[in-house]
Amino acid sequence: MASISLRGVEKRFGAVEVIPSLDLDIEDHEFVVFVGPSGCGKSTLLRIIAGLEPVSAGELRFAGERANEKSPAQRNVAMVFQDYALYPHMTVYQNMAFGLEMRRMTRAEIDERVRRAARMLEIEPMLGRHPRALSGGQRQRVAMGRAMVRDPSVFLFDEPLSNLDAQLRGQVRTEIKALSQRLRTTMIFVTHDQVEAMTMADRIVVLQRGVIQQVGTPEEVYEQPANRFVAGFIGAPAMNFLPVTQEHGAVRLGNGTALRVDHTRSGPAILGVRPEHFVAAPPGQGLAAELLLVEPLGSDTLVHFMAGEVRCIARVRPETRPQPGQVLHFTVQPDRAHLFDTESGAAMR
Amino acid sequence: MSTSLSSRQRGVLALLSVPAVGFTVLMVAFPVAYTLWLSFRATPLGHASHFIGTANYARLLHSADFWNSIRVSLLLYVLSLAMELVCGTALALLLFRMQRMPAILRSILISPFMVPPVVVGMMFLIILDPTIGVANWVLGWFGIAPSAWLASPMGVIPTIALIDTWQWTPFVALIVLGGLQSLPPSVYEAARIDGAPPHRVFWRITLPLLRPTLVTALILRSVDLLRFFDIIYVTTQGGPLNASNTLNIFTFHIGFELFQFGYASALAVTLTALVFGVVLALNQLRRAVAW
Amino acid sequence: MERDQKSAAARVLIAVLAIIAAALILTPLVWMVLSSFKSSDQVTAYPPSLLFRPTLANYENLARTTSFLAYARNSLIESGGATLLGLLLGIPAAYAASVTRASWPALATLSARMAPGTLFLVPWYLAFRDFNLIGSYTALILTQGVIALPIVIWVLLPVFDAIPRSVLEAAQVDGCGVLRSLWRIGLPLARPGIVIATILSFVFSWNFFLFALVLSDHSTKPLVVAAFNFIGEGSTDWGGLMAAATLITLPPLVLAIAVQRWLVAGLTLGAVKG
Repeated sequence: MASISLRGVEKRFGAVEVIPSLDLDIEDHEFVVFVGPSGCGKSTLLRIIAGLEPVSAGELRFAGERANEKSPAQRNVAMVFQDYALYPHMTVYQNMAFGLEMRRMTRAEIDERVRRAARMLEIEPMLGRHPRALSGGQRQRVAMGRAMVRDPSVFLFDEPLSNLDAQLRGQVRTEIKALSQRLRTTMIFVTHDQVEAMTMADRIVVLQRGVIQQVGTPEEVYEQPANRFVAGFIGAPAMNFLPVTQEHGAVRLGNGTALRVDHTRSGPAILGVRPEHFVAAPPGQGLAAELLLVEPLGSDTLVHFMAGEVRCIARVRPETRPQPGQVLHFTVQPDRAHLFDTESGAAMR
Repeated sequence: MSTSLSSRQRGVLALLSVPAVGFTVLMVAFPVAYTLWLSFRATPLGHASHFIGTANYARLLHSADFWNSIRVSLLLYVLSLAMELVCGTALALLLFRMQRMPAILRSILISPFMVPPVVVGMMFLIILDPTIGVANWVLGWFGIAPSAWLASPMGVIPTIALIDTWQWTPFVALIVLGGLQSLPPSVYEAARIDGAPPHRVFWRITLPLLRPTLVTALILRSVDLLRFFDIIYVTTQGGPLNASNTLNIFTFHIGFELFQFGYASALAVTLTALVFGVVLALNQLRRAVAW
Repeated sequence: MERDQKSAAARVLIAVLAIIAAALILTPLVWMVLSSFKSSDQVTAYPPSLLFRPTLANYENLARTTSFLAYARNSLIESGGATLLGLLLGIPAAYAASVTRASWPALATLSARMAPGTLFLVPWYLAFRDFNLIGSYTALILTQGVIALPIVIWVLLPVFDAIPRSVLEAAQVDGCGVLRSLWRIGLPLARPGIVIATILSFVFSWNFFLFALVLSDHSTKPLVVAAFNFIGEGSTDWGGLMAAATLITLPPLVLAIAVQRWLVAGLTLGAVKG
């Protein structure tokens, strides 16, 4: 069990600066998800915490103790790799026992731990098999089992679901979440998939180009994105961004349409509206939207339209059965609209 | 991502290479440096050696035997290489056409180059013997006059080239076959759809795509052929009349039969320069034909 | 229909050509083996005798009148020793080079392999003479090790490279240091490659002639040198020579055929995947 803190952590590969300078605190028992587009430094950050990657500058503390010089084993971390990294020449049992053997645990204790973890993950019948004889999902479980038996102070997951098919991914996601609630170990999970981040995290860390954009609960990150990047990255379909001019209690689009919005100031801004926060309005009111494309999802329907120069997506109730070419009218929920600085992209509050 | 190693790991990893590096320095680097040093010295037997500048090199440049050995080496090199590449490519195309190569055929193909060269020499000594050899007997069936083979000053180089071709053609063929198998099949299909007849496909598609593989085979064979030793030493020892006296045989003769270590060192350095020169040139060629 | 006939004819043609090629390759070897079973009259008969009563006399003579077994033992000690040396030095070096992605060790040993043996032979001869090691197993194992080491490194580099980095990192997270990762993960995973490296280094030092020609003496000379000396002994005993040649060829041939699928990749030092 450990809290982790990073202070002024930097990472360079030669001349390339991957992480400029980063501070982050992770609480004991917390499930933290690092999310961001590929190349944002999230995996590097995880590997730094694991001890697989030395930092170029800064300090790393585990449970208050400096850990920069500690090996992964000394940090007592366990890691589930993207490709699972099972030892191909060992059976499932040996794979799970290996880390314990390295810790000079007695045979009896190793056996007890391996069997308990195998039971929990329902992989007991496979203990005698080699990884090559397992399916992708089974390998994934073995990789988790290998981490679990160690009873580590921190669990690290490096995109462990990306090699699974969509259905299995959803299932394992739920299992990991349940596992975290049961084990109550600090967990750090890296993903580029914002759905995984939203569904599993106690707190999400959104990264871009090695810089933390926002740290917060899934609700905070979704409802109060700190900037345009976070707002656009979290949520699918992505938030719509429209250049506007702020007036008192409203914003005006390029084509002259005015929309009522809370918390306005004055001057230009970027209006951010999630697809579900467009509200159908009677003809003649709000934004006239000529539908370019209609995507029925079943539970609701997405409609694409142009607002000035910008292509927008709105989520509408499927019963309305919209058709391409049809003109709908939308206003936005005034309290759910976001305004961002045109220059910096920072949220204006 | 080599920067991900901690300094401690780097240290241990460096230690792991120390024995191999130490061995190579001791057994290769030192000797090479010593040979280089010795090539500038006179080494009279029973006396201390002394510095004589580039006299050894001047001597070899003025030596008819040296120039003969260069001529012999290059002749043997070009002749063997040409035969091995042509026969090897032909054999590879044949093997490529087979749907599945039987394991026994592969075993047969690797046999020649696994036989010790000394044995190859001995084997052909009896086959090509002018009086009892089976080769002349077989040629007699076709009305071809018996040849002296290795005993003929004119015929010895082609004969040795023939022996080397026997030993290494299958090796070249297996390399080229590997190259053929790694070519994208879609290219052939595209050429077929374009209506190219098979021989055009070979000259316009297969051969150009195969060039990097051929250059690799060329480099590997060049290294061995330029320092040709074993078979010649076993069969002719450079004879008859110096007609098969390659640079490596000549160097060995000077060094370990006449014990002129200084001069032999100069010859060995020259031979090495020749080998590395050719390899570097061919390596440039490899870059040029890469696709 | 016509197309089927054409392709069937082509298949037959290909098979016939392949058999001819195989025959051309095999004939000299077959002739060597046949000659080894001929009496001294038959072996020098002209025209050569194709039908003859095989005799084991040449093999019996080899065992009785020469120290063939002692030479075989020498070959075994020297090639085995060189192979062991190559493995002991080469495995850790190849592993380190693979993990650190360093290319210079491979290139250094490659140039050692490309250089002609005569380049090292004079200093070796002088040094071993000074240490009184001419004709010693030590000298022969050390020099043949120069043949074995590059083979081991070049066969194993791609083998170690093929182990996913994440597996080694998983071992690190599980508490393995560099040495333990090599012992518990690297070595077991590289086992097939190590077998090939072992066989290739053994075969190549078994076949290598030049170093032993200069550095061995009557009590340590390996088979290839001993066989060469048989040629010089007065009027050549062709039958005995071919019997010796056959026996010398057997071990490398059998070993090479056992690993034939990986042989070409090994021989081309990774330049070509066979």
